[in-house]
Amino acid sequence: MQQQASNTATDEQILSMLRDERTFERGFRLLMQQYKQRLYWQIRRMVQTHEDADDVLQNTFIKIYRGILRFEGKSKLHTWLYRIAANETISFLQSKNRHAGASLDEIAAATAGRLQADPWFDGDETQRRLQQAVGLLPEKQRAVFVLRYYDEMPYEEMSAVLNTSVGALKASFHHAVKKIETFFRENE
Amino acid sequence: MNMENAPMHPQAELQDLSPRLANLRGKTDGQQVPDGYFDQLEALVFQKIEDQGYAPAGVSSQGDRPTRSGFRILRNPRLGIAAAAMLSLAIAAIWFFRMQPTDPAIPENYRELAAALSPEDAATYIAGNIHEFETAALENYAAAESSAAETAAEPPAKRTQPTEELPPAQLELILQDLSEEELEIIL
Repeated sequence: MQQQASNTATDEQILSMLRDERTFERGFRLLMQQYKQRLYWQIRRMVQTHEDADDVLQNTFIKIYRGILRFEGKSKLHTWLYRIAANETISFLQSKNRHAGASLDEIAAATAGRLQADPWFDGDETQRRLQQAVGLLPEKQRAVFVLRYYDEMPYEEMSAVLNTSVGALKASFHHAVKKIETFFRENE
Repeated sequence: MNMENAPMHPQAELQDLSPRLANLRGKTDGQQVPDGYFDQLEALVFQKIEDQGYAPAGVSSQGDRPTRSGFRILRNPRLGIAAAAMLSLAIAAIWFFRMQPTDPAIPENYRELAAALSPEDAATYIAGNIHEFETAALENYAAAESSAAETAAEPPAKRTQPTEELPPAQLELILQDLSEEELEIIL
């Protein structure tokens, strides 16, 4: 009873289906098909484990489902979706870290432990260290790093996603890279 | 080295900042996804939407959804507890407003309003601003009010409100856990 639509629908077609009650559900399924992988990887690279990424992604889609009719088209659909995913992920990380109150070393050790326990991570030592270093970045800086490093998102688009000026994003990314570089040097 | 668009291209930017990270980017990052995960995702999300009775905000023509949301409270014990708690808090707050307008536990902005509001208006007002009130204080008043009501009424044969069996901390956790939409439904 599902997934009849093709994967090649444009954002405009999806939005048009979402505006009609009769095609709303089909349009939403199409939206999920179109964006689930991109949003998953954006989230996964920030939260790092599959289990957390799955939780955050499902909540993201529920937020999108509930809010899609308020989308006014002032930004591109994918920008709006990335924004919701980023906000949801940042909130998730903040609530997680609020309980932690740990030192940087403890956070790095905890990240290493979580990756070790995650059956869906099989990176080598260098990748493990990169994940540890990313795990040390503050939530928003982590979002900046992930969007730029993995997704190669232009700063202008990132500015719309994270509601931050281009200059601040550039500075944040540069700072994040330097921190990660330092982490590598100190743990060689 | 291609310098044409170096200032803007992420790879060139990264190469300048950290050759190590630039080299690492092309390689697999070791993050995997369970087989079939993306195929099952839609069903999982729709199941959650169905279970929670979520509806897209701003759709007035989807007649059955709000009703379903309204009935959700009857099926969900957590919401039932919270509903009873909120009702109790709202009643207590009305009483609180009327009997103790100078009590420091009332947020200062609301003290002046308290004298002027009818119980109905107070209930509406409190419903919209319940987070401004100290839960513990309201609960104390709820308890005080219900024991006063009991002594005035018939013997307290059965009291089945689930809130009376919950410690305040647990009740507060339940209330904090509820979304604004859920609170709206309850109230």
